[in-house]
Amino acid sequence: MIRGVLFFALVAAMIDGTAVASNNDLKKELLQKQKELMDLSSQIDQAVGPEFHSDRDVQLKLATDLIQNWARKVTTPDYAITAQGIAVQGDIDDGNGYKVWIDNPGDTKAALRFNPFLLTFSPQQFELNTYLTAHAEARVWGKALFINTNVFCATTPDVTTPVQAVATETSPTIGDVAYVVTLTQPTNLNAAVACGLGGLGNYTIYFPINQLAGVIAKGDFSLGYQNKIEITVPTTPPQKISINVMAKDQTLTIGSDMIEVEANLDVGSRP
Amino acid sequence: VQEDDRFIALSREDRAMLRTLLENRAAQLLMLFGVMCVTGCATTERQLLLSQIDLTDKGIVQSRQMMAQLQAQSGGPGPYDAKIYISTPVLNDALNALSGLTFAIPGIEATANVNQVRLTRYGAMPAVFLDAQAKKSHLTVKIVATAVLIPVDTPGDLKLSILSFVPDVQWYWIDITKWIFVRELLAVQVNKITDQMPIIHLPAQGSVTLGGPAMDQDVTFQVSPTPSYLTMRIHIPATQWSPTYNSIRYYFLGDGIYAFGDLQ
Repeated sequence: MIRGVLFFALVAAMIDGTAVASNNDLKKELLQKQKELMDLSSQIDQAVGPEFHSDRDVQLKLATDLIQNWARKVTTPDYAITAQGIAVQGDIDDGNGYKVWIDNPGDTKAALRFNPFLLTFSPQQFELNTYLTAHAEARVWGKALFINTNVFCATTPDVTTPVQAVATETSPTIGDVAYVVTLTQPTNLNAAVACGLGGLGNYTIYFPINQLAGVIAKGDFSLGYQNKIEITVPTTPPQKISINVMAKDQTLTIGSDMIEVEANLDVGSRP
Repeated sequence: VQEDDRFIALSREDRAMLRTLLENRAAQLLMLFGVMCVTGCATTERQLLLSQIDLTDKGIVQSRQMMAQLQAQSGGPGPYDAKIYISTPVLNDALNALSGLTFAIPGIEATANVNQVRLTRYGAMPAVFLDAQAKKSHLTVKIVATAVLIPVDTPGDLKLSILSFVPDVQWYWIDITKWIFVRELLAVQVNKITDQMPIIHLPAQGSVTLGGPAMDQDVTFQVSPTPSYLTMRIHIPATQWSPTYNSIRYYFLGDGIYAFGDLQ
């Protein structure tokens, strides 16, 4: 028995000695690889450019190229603002024994057709340049003694003008940049509709383009952010943990190539 | 004892004590058990070391790939349509929600209970270290699992993929009763644990939305000197467009996760 134990102990000790020596080699190999990994991490830190630096908790960016593509897409082949009369107040003319008026405001229509938008981005705003063609029409009624008539009249020719507009960002939040695009040029241009009523005379109705196109577009750049981090555990049924992340101190930067929103986040506890 | 000459380096007293020990049956059994343990522990240590080396190798491979990409793109991510960055402290706060998570350890009748989760950098890998306790009947063994966040099909979703699942033990002083359990834990297939790991949804949606819905607004203006006024209802067409991500590139640096996407 004693011989057996001794023999076993000796064999075990030899095996163990070999195993321990082998493990020491593995420890050296591990240390070497960990050093290589640390060196690589340092090299990466030195190689990264400004896109990989942020001192905030969250940063969202949208390329202005994408916004250009969107503007082109939604305005091709054209972008039309239409208008129809819904109420009229007063007569166009009311003289001694005659009257000229718009009887049905719904007969009064206007359409402003814009060429595809071209956007340019500058610090903290973007501008829109294009052309529009304005068409307007109306049906005008006239009455004098035995005459009771009406005439359909329209812009001839339609009015074409270059357009400039500027976007104003309203209440930017971490996920959304709301904007309103308002016309800045032309400032005072009418689409004139000449209506000839024969013996009752000629009348011109003016459709102010800068009022009809006061707001050209309105919307949001939603940057695809949501105020929560969710964790789904694949149990049956799946367990969902939702953690609220509320943004604070958000800043909006509009540059020539990017719209950027940054913020810090308060991470809420799981509900 | 004829084998005494093998212990020639020992003193006479030591040889006498050794002889006494070897003749004692209880001492013989204890010695046999100890020898088995030491041999087994060395093997266990080897497995742990190999596991750590494997993990480090993966970190090196990922880091080299990232380094090559950065060098090819002048330190940047290349062209992109949208970017989202989330800091490591925020992700760590969110991952704390996993404390208390219990999952079955596949292949053995045991469970693991997560104590703490920590996102950290392991080269270019977004490595998540999970401190857990493995329990099997009355036995408890501390576990350190290392996972990496792997992007899945849904944009902004990252799956915890287990790379290593190792008992955190001092193997030379290990409690003999836990030794078998430790060896069982070392044999657990990590891909089967990954099946039970959660998916982290970054605070991002699968698309961005540009533009707005159609809208109407009323404008009143003077149409003649009389004066008469016309109110028109202006219809502004919809401009909404919601492109979706067709590819996302993730980069993990120590300060957080950077995701760059192309939209279509």
